[in-house]
Amino acid sequence: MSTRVSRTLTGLALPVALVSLWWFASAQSTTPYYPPLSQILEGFRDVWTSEHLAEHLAPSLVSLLAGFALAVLLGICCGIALGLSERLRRDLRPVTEFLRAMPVVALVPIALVLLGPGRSMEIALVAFAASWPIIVSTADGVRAADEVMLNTARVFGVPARRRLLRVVLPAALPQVMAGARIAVAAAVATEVVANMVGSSAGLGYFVISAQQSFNVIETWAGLLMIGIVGCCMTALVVVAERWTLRWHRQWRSQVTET
Amino acid sequence: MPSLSDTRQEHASSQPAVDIDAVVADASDASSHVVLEARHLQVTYGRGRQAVTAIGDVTFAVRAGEFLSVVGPSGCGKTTLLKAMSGLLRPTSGEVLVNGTPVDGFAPGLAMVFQEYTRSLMPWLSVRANVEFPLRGRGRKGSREETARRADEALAEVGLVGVGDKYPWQLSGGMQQRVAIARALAYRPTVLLMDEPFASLDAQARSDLEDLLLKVHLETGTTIVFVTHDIDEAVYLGDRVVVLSQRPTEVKVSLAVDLPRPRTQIETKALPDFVELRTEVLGLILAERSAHAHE
Repeated sequence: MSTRVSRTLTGLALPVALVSLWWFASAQSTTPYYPPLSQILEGFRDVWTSEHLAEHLAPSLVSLLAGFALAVLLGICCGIALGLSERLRRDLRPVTEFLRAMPVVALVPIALVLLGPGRSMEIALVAFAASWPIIVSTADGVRAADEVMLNTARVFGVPARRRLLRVVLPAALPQVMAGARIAVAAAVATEVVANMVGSSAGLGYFVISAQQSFNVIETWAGLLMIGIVGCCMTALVVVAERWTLRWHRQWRSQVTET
Repeated sequence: MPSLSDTRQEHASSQPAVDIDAVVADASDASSHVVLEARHLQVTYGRGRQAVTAIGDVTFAVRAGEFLSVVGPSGCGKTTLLKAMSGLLRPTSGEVLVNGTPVDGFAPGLAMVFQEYTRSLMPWLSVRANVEFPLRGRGRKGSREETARRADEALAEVGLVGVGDKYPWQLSGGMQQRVAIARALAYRPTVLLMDEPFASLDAQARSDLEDLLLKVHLETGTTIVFVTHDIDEAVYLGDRVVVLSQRPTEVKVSLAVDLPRPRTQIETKALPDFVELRTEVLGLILAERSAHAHE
């Protein structure tokens, strides 16, 4: 058996074991709050093959993707500005530290007041929450661009703009992608919470309304779907990271070998 | 051609300022023009009481096609000098002229090869793309095909054929430094500045690259300023050796290297003139070190 196949199998072993444990532990359950896993899975299938797909999953995905895209754009631009200017970093530090430490969930009431319930509020909150990890890691990546590389480019007369686009940014890319991975988790969490409180359609709303009408199966179905969405978003970013950083992985493995 | 002892007496370290005309006349080939000049360069870091003068007063000139070696005791600011000459560092006073034009942050026609070859090559670009990098971008002339051709020619000049599509980190240290040299050659610089380029290589790679540099210098006629701490290397490669003093750095001596070309590792280094020269340079540097150790 090849190492890749056996590695995949060992990776799956724990999740499979946990799911099986859940299945058998809950199989005999009679309380309404912990239904058997078999019923949950049935309910999952029923819910998400119905019109709920379009009614709740789609709007959440739209807000999530739009907010994340905005966060990436904003995050990279602000990160570059902060990374390049020591002065800007210093002057803005009180503001950035304050905003960064603010739990986004606490901002939901303000966002509701300022933007009203609905999609724009969700997108704004998702963008705000997800941009911070990207700003920080982009700034770090920009600052860490190798001095020898930049000096070489300078002596050769490469103008500042080209140095930024062709030397600094590619060098910062590994860190930018690392920030993006963290940002995805923040984005999903923020979207669900914003949705729970401020919308009438979406995954968060679905879960809350199912819970409030004591529909435990539907609550679980909603939760499982949120988990799946989170996994898929993370997988997307990981694939993007692998593709843009092909050179980086091989380079790092070479460096650690010598 | 002035003899070694005459030259030494002309530029004794007791003289406060070096006569620029004497320095220029001392250069090996009297018929070629001065391409790079440093005039009373001074570099001071910090201010007030904590000010550190790295470079006190350095003046020298490099003629077209010349190979100038620069040596000095450790910490004498050799790298600072190169940074000031390449425009990376703005000197506190004095000036650097490339073909008569003052260097102000940048001068066209300069290329530099650093000691840390891994850090100066871009790991996300192939070897060929790395060599082409200074040749591309807005305002640069030449089509893609021409740029690629120049890159491949430069790579062949340094003995690298068929590695254009590989990545720098897939190559050995010596090969990576060859890529850095190829990148500088493809740029066709007026002056090639080299900052202890072989110091991070093992002895065999070092001697291979020294001979490669000699071949490149012979075949292309590029003007080279080569900073090193290795005295043998400085004498083996150079047409002239400039010996720097300890901080605040000045030009202590400028010695002509009257060894025949082409040079070889075994024959040249066995010549009595080579031995005499390297002993003289070593003596100067040791004297410099001990003089400052007692301060």
